[in-house]
Amino acid sequence: MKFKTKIWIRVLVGLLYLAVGVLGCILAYTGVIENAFVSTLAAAFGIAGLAHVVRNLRIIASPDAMRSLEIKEKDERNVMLAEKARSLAFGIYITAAAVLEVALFLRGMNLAGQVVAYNICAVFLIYVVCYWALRLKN
Amino acid sequence: MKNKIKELRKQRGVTQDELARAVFVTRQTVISLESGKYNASLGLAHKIATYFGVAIEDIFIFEEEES
Repeated sequence: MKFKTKIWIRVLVGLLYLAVGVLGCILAYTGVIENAFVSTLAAAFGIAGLAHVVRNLRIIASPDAMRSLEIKEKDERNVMLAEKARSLAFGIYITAAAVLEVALFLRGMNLAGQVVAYNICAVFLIYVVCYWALRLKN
Repeated sequence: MKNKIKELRKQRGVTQDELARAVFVTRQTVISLESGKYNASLGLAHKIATYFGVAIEDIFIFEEEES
């Protein structure tokens, strides 16, 4: 996929966020939604979407900015660092969840402990599936 | 892995930014390569060698202990 196409997709995603935000704000203003959390979330979505659209349209308008962004995103060291960070985050998350699970069981909070334990199992299952899928591909 | 990127770059009067743009990486990557903190992939090593018009083994010095 061409990088410019990727940027256009980001513009479309931004427009989608903006549409959800505007819709949420209209529903909140007309009283259909009376939940303050939902209306705040909608406003945040709208602002984030607008910022996303403006930023990406400015990139499309400037070939130099687009090339710089493409280099930054495709730079092999940046990609390697992001992958290492993800891998480290996974290891830290699993360890922290395991410690939390033991602590919850020790304090007699069995239901919460079970939820954390199932969560760890689910993450491991996703990891194994991804590992085998990547192994078949590479 | 040691390399002669800095040496070659200075010989040719090329800036880090020019080299980075030519081989499609960030300037930070060129800095890391020159300081030996990061080892280039085979693809990037090929691009750098092509840019300087030399063979890969003339830029990157593989040391046996690293394997």
